[in-house]
Amino acid sequence: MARLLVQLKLRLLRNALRSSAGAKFAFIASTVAAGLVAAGTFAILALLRGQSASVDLTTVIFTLFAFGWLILPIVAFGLDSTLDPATLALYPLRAQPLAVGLLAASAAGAWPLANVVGLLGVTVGLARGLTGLVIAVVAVALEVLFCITLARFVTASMARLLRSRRGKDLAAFLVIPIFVLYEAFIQVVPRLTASGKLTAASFDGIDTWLRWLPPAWPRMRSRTHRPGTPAPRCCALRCWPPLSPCSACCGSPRCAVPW
Amino acid sequence: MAEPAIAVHALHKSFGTKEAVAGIDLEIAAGSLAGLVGPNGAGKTTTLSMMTGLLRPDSGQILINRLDVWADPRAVKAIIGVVPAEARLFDRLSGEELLEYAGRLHSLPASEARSRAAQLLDVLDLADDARRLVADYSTGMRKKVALGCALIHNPAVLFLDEPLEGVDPVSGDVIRRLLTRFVGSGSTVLFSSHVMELVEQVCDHVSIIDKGRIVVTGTVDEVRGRKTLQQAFIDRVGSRATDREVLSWLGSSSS
Repeated sequence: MARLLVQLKLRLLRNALRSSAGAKFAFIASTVAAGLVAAGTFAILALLRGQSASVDLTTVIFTLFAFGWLILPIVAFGLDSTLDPATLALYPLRAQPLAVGLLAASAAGAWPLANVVGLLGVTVGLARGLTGLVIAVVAVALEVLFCITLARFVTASMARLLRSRRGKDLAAFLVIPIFVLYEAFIQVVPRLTASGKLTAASFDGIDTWLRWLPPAWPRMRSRTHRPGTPAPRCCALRCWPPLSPCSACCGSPRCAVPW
Repeated sequence: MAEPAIAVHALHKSFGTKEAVAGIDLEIAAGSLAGLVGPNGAGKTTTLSMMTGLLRPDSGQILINRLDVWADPRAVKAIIGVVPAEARLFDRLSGEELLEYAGRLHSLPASEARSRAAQLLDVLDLADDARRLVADYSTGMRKKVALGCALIHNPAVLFLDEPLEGVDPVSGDVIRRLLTRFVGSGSTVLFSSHVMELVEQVCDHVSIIDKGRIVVTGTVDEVRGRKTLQQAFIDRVGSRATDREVLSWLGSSSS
């Protein structure tokens, strides 16, 4: 089943080149953009090697990717028909092979590949030693799987709305609340941090559950080591920027502190 | 009557406070070409969606060839074919690729799927457009290719929602002939429509649905009596508007 769905997805992607001139241009532009994002992200993550804020910045980049996968499929719904559950609803498919197949199909394409290649920059930027390298690769795989599953969850649960005219309009307007949130964030957060109202400790409650998200698992693993043990824990910590946007955004070095 | 191919008991479905299907009982014999007719909003699509495992009923039971649709939707989907009113197809596949993948998603071997796809394209008069993308197909061509997807695994029962809506007479004739031939081989077809002429021409069984209830069901001759089906339908469902008074301004004789 997974093989069939991946073949189907690749066929759909290839056929984009046979579509109208507009669709063809969009496909080529999107592929080129994916290549640029991959190269750019890899370069940025790699250049962070040895920088003091490398862990924080890497955290932000990983978090941005997750947000991208959360939001973009809503705006671009309809471009990937394997994302629409209605196209497969009529077939007698078992849930488990279907879930695995759809995950595999989602992982096929320029953007998932760009995600993997770009984020692998962390192997140069943060990983130390062989263990660090292995953990970094596993962490990137987990992050990409997390992103893809997140995107699938969003589109599958909102498919009915997104197919409708109203849903498409709403998706187009989604940019407004995102911009408002961003503005509020960059206005309010630095002010609160400067006045001391917002510190790393403010997120004590949130980070206890953020830690349970798949991308944070390698970091969880690091907690199983006794405090003070040097090498393995540091490797794990330094190569894996957990999905804790809060600590990074308020400028806290918390994610670099061995817990 | 022999064991019915489709048996529906006490089917209910509400959306909020609106009762879309208010207790439907229906039995369709195997080998029938049955029509489900009703005005817009009568509950035809909702009923068909529940029968085909696409919409979960609030209560009631649906058996297709003695298999409970909602107890084992996967087993039922393997023996039915469905052409929804607005079929969601993989638009970026060509007609032949779409049929081939439909066959393979129904667990046909690749070579068998390919061969059946070619034959269906031929019968559906789509052979010349087999390599065009479905996105570029007209409404009639989409209906025909969706019908091909629904038939490729040789289902025992075929459901169609408004099969000739927006379809030109030539494509309509192709669909009609294919359905008649399919039923001739012992399979069962149930389709919804509000085109009475079509139902009168091709169906041997008809059920009229209104406000979520089956108003009358039986052979076409039983239901229409001595009238046309159109007249029988209007008599049963009733004319909905008394337009003479409220539209007094309409027409050139008014000032």
